[in-house]
Amino acid sequence: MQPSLLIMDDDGAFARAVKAIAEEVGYRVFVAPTMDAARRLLDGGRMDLLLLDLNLPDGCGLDLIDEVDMSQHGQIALVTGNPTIETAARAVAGPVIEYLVKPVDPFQLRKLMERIRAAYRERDESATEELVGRSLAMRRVVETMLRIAPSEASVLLVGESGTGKELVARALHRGSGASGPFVALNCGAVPPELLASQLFGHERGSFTGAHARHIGVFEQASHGTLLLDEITEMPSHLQVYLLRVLEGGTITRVGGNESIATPVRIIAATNRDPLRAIADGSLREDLFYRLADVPISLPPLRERDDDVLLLAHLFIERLNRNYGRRKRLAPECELALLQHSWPGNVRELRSAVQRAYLLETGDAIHVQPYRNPVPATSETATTILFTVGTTLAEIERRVLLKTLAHYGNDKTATAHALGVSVRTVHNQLTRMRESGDEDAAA
Amino acid sequence: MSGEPGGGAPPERWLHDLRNAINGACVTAMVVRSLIEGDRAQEALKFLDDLDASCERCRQLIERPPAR
Repeated sequence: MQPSLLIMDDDGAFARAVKAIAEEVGYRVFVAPTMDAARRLLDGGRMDLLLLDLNLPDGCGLDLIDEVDMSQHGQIALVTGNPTIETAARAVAGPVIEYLVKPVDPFQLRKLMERIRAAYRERDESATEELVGRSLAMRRVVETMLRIAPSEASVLLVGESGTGKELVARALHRGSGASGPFVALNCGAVPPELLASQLFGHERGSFTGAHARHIGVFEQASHGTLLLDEITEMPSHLQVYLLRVLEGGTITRVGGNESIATPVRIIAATNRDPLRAIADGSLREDLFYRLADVPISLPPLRERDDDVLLLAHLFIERLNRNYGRRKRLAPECELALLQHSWPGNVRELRSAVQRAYLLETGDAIHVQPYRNPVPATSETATTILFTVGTTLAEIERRVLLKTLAHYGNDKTATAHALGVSVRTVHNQLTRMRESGDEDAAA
Repeated sequence: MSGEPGGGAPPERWLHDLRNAINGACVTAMVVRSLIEGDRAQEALKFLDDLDASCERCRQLIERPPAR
């Protein structure tokens, strides 16, 4: 998969030259000569690197960082022909990795692009590492993936929470050779009344609050792959429309008239038994057959033999790389890991390893599963249940995700409701994403 | 942003425009070199036009320094 780069600069010659360099390095490049154009591009999909000029005809590039939800995007570098202490101070205080003064050293610029590209590739590859396994169940999954990745078949991923459905979807996308991006949408995390807009986009003024045109995930994923997670949470009337879109290959934005071709490979995912979901009416049977050219069942960790140890070693190795340490799994804790049922699957194991890694002072890591797994029963859209023994970190995580879902992923409203700053919400989501929390990535 | 170069422009503005012009030239030169080394002379010619324009902007700015 190629990383994406946004160049926001009104100097056409400079933008063209940087675009040529970036394409050679391996980026998909988008150029915005104004702040307004940049806003639209940022709204349309994730950018892995943003190269922002400060002096634009319609404003200051730094203001864009405050306006746009940058937690959805990657690294930011500022380029300015008018360096000042004020802008440098604002850059240092914000999420900016480079403050480049024109004339920039083109070799330094190229090195920056290569560095971000390398980090992107490493993150991509390390995510795929988690799909390895010696167990028969996991080897079957990987064999199926390799066989179907280059095809155009739709895929339905079925597996408990934490089994790696998004990782599989990303690996399928990478193996497909598709030129477009990978885009994921958690249908259960978006209020039903906003889901159509998230999926298909909307035109300006199409409903109260639609201040600008919005490009939906179908268009964002054009020529790429769209993962629709928690597909059974999609309201029935939208499932009907989704089926029509899949059959016709075109969408119409909410409030629009134009039919827009959307060549997209669809991967759907659910943590429910799809046949039961059909029986109870939460998944339409005709949509199921359209989505499930190839169904793949992801095994829970407890059914993956000693993959749990393989993965624990893998996570420790990754942490060793990050922290420059040489810690190892203590042999005496292996039995406990093999006996635990891991209701949170690989996500729970990753969290347990990280906790032990950070808390243990010696080189031998004693990974302990949670004693009181968090039950996920009898909750509603506006209530959360916890049992005694749930960690504060897990409580914070679930409160944040549920509040975000309640407010339609509106970080400002969420921050207000929780009595914290918007920055705190962004920072927490970033931390969760960096620790591999799939729910925070949706 | 670029405007009419030099000729009484405030020094900060003049310096900003000069930085931009040199910047365009530096980065474009790297692209031209890379394209020529990759045997893509036709594409390099297009970027040479940009390089010429950047050099011309520099020349004009140097000829018309800011008012002191």
